[in-house]
Parts: sequence; structure tokens; C-alpha cells
Amino acid sequence: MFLENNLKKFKETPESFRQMFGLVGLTVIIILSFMMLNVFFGADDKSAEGSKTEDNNETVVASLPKGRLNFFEGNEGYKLSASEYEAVCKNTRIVVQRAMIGANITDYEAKKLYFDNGNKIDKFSVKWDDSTNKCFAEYIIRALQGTTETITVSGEAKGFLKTSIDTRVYFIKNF
Amino acid sequence: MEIIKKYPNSFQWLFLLIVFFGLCFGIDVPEGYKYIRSIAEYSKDPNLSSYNLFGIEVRYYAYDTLWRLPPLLGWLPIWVNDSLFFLLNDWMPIEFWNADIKEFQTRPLILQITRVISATMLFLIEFIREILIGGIKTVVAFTSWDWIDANPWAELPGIPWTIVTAGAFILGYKLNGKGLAIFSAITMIYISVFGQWKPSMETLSFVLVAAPISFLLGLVLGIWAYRSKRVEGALNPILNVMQTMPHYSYLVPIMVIFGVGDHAGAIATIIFATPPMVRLTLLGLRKVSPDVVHAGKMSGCNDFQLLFKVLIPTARTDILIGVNQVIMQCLAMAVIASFIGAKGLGWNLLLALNQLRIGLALEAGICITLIAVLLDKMSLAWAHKQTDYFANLSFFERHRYGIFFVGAVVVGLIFASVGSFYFKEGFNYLYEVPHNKGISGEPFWNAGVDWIWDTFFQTLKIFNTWLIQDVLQPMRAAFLRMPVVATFVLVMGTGYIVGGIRSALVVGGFTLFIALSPWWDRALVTAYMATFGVIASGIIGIIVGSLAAQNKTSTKIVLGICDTLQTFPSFVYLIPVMMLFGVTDTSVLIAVIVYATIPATRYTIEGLRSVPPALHDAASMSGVTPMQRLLKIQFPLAFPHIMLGINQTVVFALFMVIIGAFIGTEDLGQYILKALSDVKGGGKGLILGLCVAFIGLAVDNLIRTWANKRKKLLGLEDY
Repeated sequence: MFLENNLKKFKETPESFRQMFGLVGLTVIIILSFMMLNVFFGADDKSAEGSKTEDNNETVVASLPKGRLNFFEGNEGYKLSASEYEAVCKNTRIVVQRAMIGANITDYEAKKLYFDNGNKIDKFSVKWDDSTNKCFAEYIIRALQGTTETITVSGEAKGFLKTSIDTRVYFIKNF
Repeated sequence: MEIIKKYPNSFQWLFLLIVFFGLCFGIDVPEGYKYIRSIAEYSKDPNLSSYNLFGIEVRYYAYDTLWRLPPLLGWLPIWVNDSLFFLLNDWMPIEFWNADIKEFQTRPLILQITRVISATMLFLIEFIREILIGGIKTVVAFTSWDWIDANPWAELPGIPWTIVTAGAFILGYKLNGKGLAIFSAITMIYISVFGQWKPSMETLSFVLVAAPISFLLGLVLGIWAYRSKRVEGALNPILNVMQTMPHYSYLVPIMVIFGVGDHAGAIATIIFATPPMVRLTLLGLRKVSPDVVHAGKMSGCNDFQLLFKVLIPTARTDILIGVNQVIMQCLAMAVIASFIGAKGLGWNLLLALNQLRIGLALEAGICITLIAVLLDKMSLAWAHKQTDYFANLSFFERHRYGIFFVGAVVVGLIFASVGSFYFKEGFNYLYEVPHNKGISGEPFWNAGVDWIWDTFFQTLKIFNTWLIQDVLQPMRAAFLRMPVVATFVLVMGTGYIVGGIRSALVVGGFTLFIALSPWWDRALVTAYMATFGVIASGIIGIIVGSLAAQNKTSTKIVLGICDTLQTFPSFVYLIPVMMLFGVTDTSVLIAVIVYATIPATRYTIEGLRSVPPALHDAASMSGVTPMQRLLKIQFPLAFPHIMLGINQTVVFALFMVIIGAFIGTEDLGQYILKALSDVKGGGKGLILGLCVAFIGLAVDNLIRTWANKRKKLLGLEDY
């Protein structure tokens, strides 16, 4: 009864008011829907914290010179300190082909599959290990057709290359 | 309350804007948010969130969803790619006979079909190309290389340029008199003496294959849609998407399915050129008067006869205008198709632009433009030409053009033979002026570019800096600063005010697709560039159109200029702006403004001229000044029509913004361009193209709904 009365009242309301109510209702629905989505897909504190750390790392990396960055004694390039090494590692996403070819030299199976499948790499990642304070790079070589064979090559990332846009793993020590 | 009743729309808009700006200022940019993060495809970042759908892992940076939605449709391009890969490599393997190795081979069905289509297209293109410029591949296809070695006379000679020029002259004269004849001859002579004969004929061969296929496809689909409401209902949204999708986005999936080369370019062109033919066929058939149809039925026509003897001949003009549109679209694609290996003028233009040889690019651009204008004028003349029915004509009178052409062939061959004696060493210029051996205007144009840079460098630099720093960058920042929820409130709210809940849901759906794709930020950049272009083009177009509509002569001149500019392939617009502004965002935006001003001007003129003369008279009798008449009578009545022009302006602006990616913008177009060089780019290209199309369709829905409502309100439905 109550519902019917209200519905009747609403129907009797002038068109302009009904449209205004409709607009307000639509706006509220949109905002509430987005807020609900936040529960499932929104950023949590951890990722916000992660972003902050990432910003700090980027500041450190920005201060470094372009070119080769080493965490070993080398003839060429800039020698990284321990804190810079960590910042560079955490800021690096890409492993360059040179590093892969270098790492493959000590792994015959990986080298063979890498050349057989036309130098295709399935996935690669760069991770900082807090327990050992070392930077590890890893990549997966997958055969293109025929088999499901994969070979994972990993090792300590000790050399990097800083370009004008990012840093990349340049040398992987896997021996 | 009374005031809300009195101005309901104003209050709705006010409310919408308050909520929109409230959300914009109320929602902070999340800490750590960076505009358009580049994420290496296979890298893993501990800060990335991820989800899994159909076994596809999508990683993304999670923000407050009021700020940016997660890319929940991130799996879609990967799924499209995987599906394409499966269809092309694994689905339904069949055995087929390979004539080359004389053995049966196994190949997936779709791959076999695409290979057959590719081979057929390539054969047709080669065949026409060899008729125009000579060759042996077609003869070899029917014989063998051994046979051609034994019979070298069988090599197809190309047609001398003098014969093609004479043929174009005669055809031009037959279709529209001496004006078109002279223009045809000048175009052909220009093409040959500037050494562009071979690439021009390559482009022409490409058009001569793509255009008839598009015509047939469009005609069949148009007739089918005319006969069945269901087919029309199904075709309409597909055509809408096809006509708003940027040219580039067709290229990537086609490249994946059909490979790279002339055939792939022709297939992309066919897909792009078919929709206008379908629409114009449907329009033409719909316009046939029911009396004509009844007369046909009463005469005892069956369905087939009714269609081919009554409907199609009656709708001839509209169908032939469809042919004109098909040819124009084919030429517009000539440059873009060269991105996937189509040879010809487009390829040369692209190479020249890549090397920043503006003079050379301009030469090729002028050739494409001349061919486009010529084919446009010829096809329109053909569409409007009435068939001559004269009895008792002599043989010569009936076949005079054919006889003249045979004469031209004989004279051309004699010239070519004389040329072979005269130009004993080197090239026979009376047969063909080889590429790069003709006159070249490159040094002249390059000197012109240098002069412009030397003379106006400071002025151009000041303008460029001002535009980028004080206008474009703040505008881009404002667009990127919009939280996604605010964008939705604005877009859906506008939809609601303009066309009710249905419109709100339609535009909301389009926006949601883009917001859930991984390219929301890029879409905002595209939207900002298109908005800037539309605002500037709209202002210029409305002012120029209003001034031109004041008398018949200026109307005719400006509409003529619009017609000519509209025939220019869109890529050509980039050349002069690159000459002036170099490789910058300013160049793209100026090209957008020039290109998109055409529909704004045209529709303003047409809108103002369509106001009934009776209203002009009534206004004059009421003693209004010309300015009052324009502002109080003509503009309000013409405004719905002008808004349809703005609708076209949006589509034109979006197309040019995407093409501008070639110069180096940061929008969706840039990603489409990148997808072209990506092995797994098919899915990406398609979804990015859909994102652009959905921006256009959302705006189209809003403007069209508003214009129709307004027309109804003003009682202008018939105009």
C-alpha cells in the first residue's frame, strides 16, 4: 500500500522533477558501483607502500650515470654500491638478449633450445632476494612447437645497462 | 521549485557539472600513480596485482577504482591472438594437393582458405599491373618459365603512357566534356613527366582490384539488407563500428591472417571500402518509389526481374555514388595499406616521409591527390550521366569514342616505336618515363621548406612553444587528471539528459569497454587531441560556413573547395604541416584541424541554406537586420544539422589523430602503430581499434539523439 501510494505520487510528479530524480539516482548508482568495485580490485596498503618504495628506487637510479652499471670490479662502467645495487635491481624489469646469450654459454641445453626456437623467450623476471641481499634474474625458454619442453635459466644479476628510459640486466652470473 | 520546473535542463546540467567537478577535485591522484606506465610484457613486478581468466594471467597496477578501473578486459587481446593462432595453425587440418611439389600436404582449413584468397588477390593485382606496366608473371602462371624462355615475345609489354593519357582524355570528354578531358590529360602527363608512372600504375592496379570487389560485396549486402530487416538490423552495428574504426587497426589482424604484401593491403582496403557501398545501395533502393515497385509487379516481374530490371536501374544514381565512395576509400587506403607492404605511390610517400624528404613526399602526395580527384570527378560524372537514346545514328556516331581510342592506340604505338629509334641509348621516354628519371620538383620543394624555416623559424617556434606549453599540455593534464568515476558521471549523465536512460546506458557501455581495457590513459590522450581538434575545427567551420552561406557564389566556391579537399587521402595532410611545424604534436593537431574543418563547414552551409525561404521572407517583412536573421532564425533552425556536421568532425578528427601516430603522438594510435610490428599484435590492434571506434560511437550517439530530438521539437524532421 505504502509502495503503491509512493509510486502513484512519483508518477504524478512533474516530468522535470522526475528527470532530475533520475539523474541524481543514476549518479548515485555510478558512484556506489565504483566504490563496490574498490572492495575487490582496489589498491591495498601493501601495494601503495610498494609504490612508495619504487619511487625511492627510481630517484636513486635517476642519479646514476647512463651506460654499464656493475656490482663487481670491472674495467668498464660504473661500480654500484650495495644500496644502489638493491635500488637498481628493484627498478629493473627487462633482461637483454646479451645477458641471456651470456648465461646460455654455460648451459648447453638452454643454448640449443634458444637457437632452435628462434631466440624466443617465454617469460623473464628480475627479483631482489632479501635473505641473501642478492639480485636474481630468471628467464624461461620454451620450444615453439612440438614439445612442451621448457628450460629455466637463472643466476645472479651482477651487471646492468642504464638507458635513457630504464635499466636492464646486462650480465647474469650462473656459474 | 518553480525555477526547476521552468529551466529543467539547465538545472540538470548544473547538477551534473557540480558533481563532475566535485569528483575531480575530491579524488586525489593516488600516490605512486604515473601516467601511462610502460610495463615490459613478460616482466614481473612485486607491486603488480594480477587475476586469471580462461588461463590468461593479467597483471596490472591497482589503484583506487574511483581513480582508474583495473584492466579487467586485459585478457581480450591475448584471447583474440590465441584464437587466431589456433584457427590458423591447429583447427581442422585438411589434405590438399600442392602442385609445386606434386604431393598432398596437410594444412589447417582457415590457413588454406586465407592462402587461396591471398593467391587469388595477388594474381589479380599482378595481372592488371602487368597490363599497365608490363611483365611476365601472369603469362608464366598459365605456362612455365621454360616456355617464356623459349618464347620471349610473349612477355606482356606495358601500355605506353601516351595511350593511357589519350584514353583518359577521351573518357573524360565522353563523361563530362572538355573540362574533365583536359584535367584527365594534365593529370596523366604530370604523372608521367615526373617519373611517377610506375608507382601510379601500381596504385591504380591495386584500386582496380579492390574497388570492383568492394562494389560487388557492398551491392550484395545492400540488396540483402533491403530484402531482410533482420539482416539490416545485424549489419547496422557492424557497419557503424567499421566506419568509425581507424584505418590502421584493420591492418594488424589482416597482417596476421593474410600476411604482408599487395594482397593484404587490397584485402584491408576492401574491408574499409565496403561499408559506404552497402549503405548507399540500401539508401538508393529505399528511395525507389513504391509506385515504381507496384508497376513492376503489375507487369508480371518475378523477384529477380524486379530487382535487376526495376529496382537497381531506378536506384542507379545512388549506387554509382556508392562506386565513387568506394574508389575514394580505396585511394585513402593507398598510403595506409603500404604499412603492410602494398606497393605504389603510398609506399613511396611513406618512404619519403620516413626519410623526412618532404619534397619527394609532396611529389608522391600530389600524384595520389590528382588521381583521387580525377577518379572522383569521373565516377561522379558517370553517376550523373544520362544514357543517350538516339535512333538512326551512323556507325561512326555510335562508336566515335571507341574509334578515337583505337586511333590513339595506333598513334601511341607509332610514337613508342619512333621513340625506340630516337632514344637509342638509355630510356624510351615516349614509352615510359622511368621512376626517378623524370622531372623532379624535390629540390624546389626542399628549398621552399628551407626558406620557410629560415624566414619564419622564430615565429613558428614561438607559436609552437606557446601552443604546446600554454594550451596543449594543460589540456592534456586536465584530461588525465579526470578520475574514471567522474568521466562516467559526465558521460552517462550527458547521455541521460540528452536521450534518457537508454542513451545513458549505450554511452556508458562504450566508455566501460575502454575503461576496462589496459589503455584508458591513452584513450584520454586521444580524447584530448580529438577534443582540441573538434573545438578548433568547429569554430572555424561554423564561421567560414556562415560567411559562405550568405550568397550563392561563395556557397558554390566553398563547397567546391570542400569537395576537393575531401578527396585528398588523409595522409597527404601531414606533408604540409610537417613542412611548417616539423615532427611535433602541433603538426598533428593542425592536420586534424584542417581535415576536420571540412565537414563542419559543409554542414553549416547546408544547414543554413536549408532554412525555408518563406521564413526568410517572413523575417524580412518583420524588419529584422541580416545579423538578427542569422542569429535568431537561421542558426537555431540550422543548429541540429550543424551538430551532425560536428558529429562528422569528431570522426574525421579521430581518424587524423590516429594517423598522426606516424609523427609520434602518445595516444591509442601509437599503440596501434606499435602493434603493426608485433608478432602478437593482432588482438591488440583490433581491441585498440574498437576503443577508438567506441569513442566515436559514444559521441555519435549523443549528438545524433540530441539532433533528432531538436529537429522534432522544431518540426524539421523532413529536412
